Amino acid sequence: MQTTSVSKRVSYLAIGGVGLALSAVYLGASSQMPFGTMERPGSALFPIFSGFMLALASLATIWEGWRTDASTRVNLPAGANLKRMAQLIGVIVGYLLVLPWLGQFVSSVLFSALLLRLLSDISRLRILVYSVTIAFALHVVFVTLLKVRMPSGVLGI
Amino acid sequence: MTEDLAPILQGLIGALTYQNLFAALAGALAGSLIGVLPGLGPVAGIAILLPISYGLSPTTGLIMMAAIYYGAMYGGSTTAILLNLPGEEASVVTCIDGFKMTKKGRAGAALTIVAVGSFIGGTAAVIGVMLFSPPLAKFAIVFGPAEFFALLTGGLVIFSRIAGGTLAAGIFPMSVGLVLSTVGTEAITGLNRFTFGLDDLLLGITLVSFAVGLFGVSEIMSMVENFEDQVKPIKVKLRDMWPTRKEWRRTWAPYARGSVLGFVIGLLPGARTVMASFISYRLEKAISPHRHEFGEGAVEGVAGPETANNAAATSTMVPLLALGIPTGAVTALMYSALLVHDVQPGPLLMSQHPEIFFGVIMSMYVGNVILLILNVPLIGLWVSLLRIPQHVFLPVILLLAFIGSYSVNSAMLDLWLLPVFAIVGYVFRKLDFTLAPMVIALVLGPMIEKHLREGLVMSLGDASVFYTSPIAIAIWVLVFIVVTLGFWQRVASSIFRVLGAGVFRDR
Repeated sequence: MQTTSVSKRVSYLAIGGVGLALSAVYLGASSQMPFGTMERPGSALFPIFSGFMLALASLATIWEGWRTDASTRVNLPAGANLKRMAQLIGVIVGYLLVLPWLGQFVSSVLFSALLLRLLSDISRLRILVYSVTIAFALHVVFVTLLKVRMPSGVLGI
Repeated sequence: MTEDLAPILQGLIGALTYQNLFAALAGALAGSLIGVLPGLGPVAGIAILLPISYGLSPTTGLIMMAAIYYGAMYGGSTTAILLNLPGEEASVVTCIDGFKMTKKGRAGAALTIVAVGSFIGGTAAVIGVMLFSPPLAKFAIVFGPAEFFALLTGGLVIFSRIAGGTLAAGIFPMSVGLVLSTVGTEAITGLNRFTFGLDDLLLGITLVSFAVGLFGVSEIMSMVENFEDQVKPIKVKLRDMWPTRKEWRRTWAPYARGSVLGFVIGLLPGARTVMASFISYRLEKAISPHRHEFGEGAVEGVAGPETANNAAATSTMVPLLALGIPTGAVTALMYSALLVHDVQPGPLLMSQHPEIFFGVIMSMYVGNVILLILNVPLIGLWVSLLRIPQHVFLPVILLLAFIGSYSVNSAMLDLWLLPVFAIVGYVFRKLDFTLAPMVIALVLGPMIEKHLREGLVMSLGDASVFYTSPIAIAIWVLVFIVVTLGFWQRVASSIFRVLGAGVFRDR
């Protein structure tokens, strides 16, 4: 396994900081909505309540980060592990990009093939057979039998 | 007496219809499969099947989801025993002694002990649900908007605090969930909030893509991260399935204790089934005459925890059915399924929809029987499935996740949000943040807002209504105690340390 690590303290401080910034933006946007009156509260009431909850939670995260022992680490992937994760995200994004154009069946074949190639060293013929089988089975069960509407793309399948 | 029995009998008749029996069977099998297979988990699995439940009646949909949940509890123990890998988190404890039993050649016996224990725990908990839910629902009928606001908000905060880890680890994800719950068209004025001009966001963040991304796809990311670690299961002979008479004698007391312990823990907001199994393991280890065997294949170390986790999974239905409050991610999904069917979960569910209330409870009896009958002979099938390489399973699970998410609104945005929530879930897991409060907050957010505004409208703008009601006061006091418990413990330890030092100095 190839891993690297980052300080848990730094991570908590960073997350808390991001949360605080987001809550500031969110509260700013919420304040543009009508607040109404106490007898007839408007749309802004609950977002302001939630925004303050997020700000408090972010401060709690920053405080916990501050109190965390600096030697506590969070493991992150590195090397081959990181490459595999990035490739997985890339394959998912690629699938989402081609899905409206190629349709569910063809996109699933390509997705399965790329993922099998990424995760195994089986032969290309087996990759093709597995990919088509997986895509076909899912297509039959969900699209044909359960009538789930998935994109059919320019090929119409 | 006859009046009390009538709705129960009606529920039993409803649970035994072909449609509901099939839903219980399909749910139990799907749940067992979800529990056995790595990478999915009951939350993501139920989320993927949620759109299918929209086409069923509310009773049938809920029966199927409940069956998936307790089926997954059973299925997760199979990989724990055979592979030393928990299929879902509540089976972590079962790995300790279950796998050791496998190494001694007693895998079949361990699996049977778990199957019977799960049945006993689940059935005992169903009796508890039947006894506790109606009086709790009757008590909660007096609740108004202020009490419900306190119960939902306070319950959410308590759950986030107790669910695991530190204060920030629960409260931060909860707050993010609350913020996300404000996305969409606001119910009363029709104002679009945080939709950024996207029509696909008018109905808010889709729960299915949220839950599947946060739980399912992020789990798969973790699996891909450490992909070289795959273990093959040991072959299990069916003739070795039956425990010996001595092993059976050692299981009955842990079954009984696990049932009671699991049921009580499952009632608590924030309690997870993993807590029930850990506490049961510690209890059994403390009082068992065979405590020297714990860690080396003690029967009690398998029987007690698995009974407790199934009982806890079932008793989480009590707050949902009686009060309309989900206390976990799974019950949050069931809650949202009821809303889709225009059924308002809450204390009036029993009187307004007795067929749902008692139908679901009775179906849990039926589901437990189905699980017991099916899962012992199907153990061989689950073991065969575990031999299929993970690199084949993972594309199937991911494609299922995409299909499930897209099927709700036929919106590409729901698919694009999947990897976004997956990355959020992955990062939160790394930081030991708890994910369940995020899902519950997303589901409960609109209800909390509704009760907040109703309380203000009904009290003509007097906000004191939220902290003057005796029930609301009791809930807020409990919230304060739970949230600040760590602080008071430190204060108490410091006081005792100072007093103790003073006593020794005086001597």
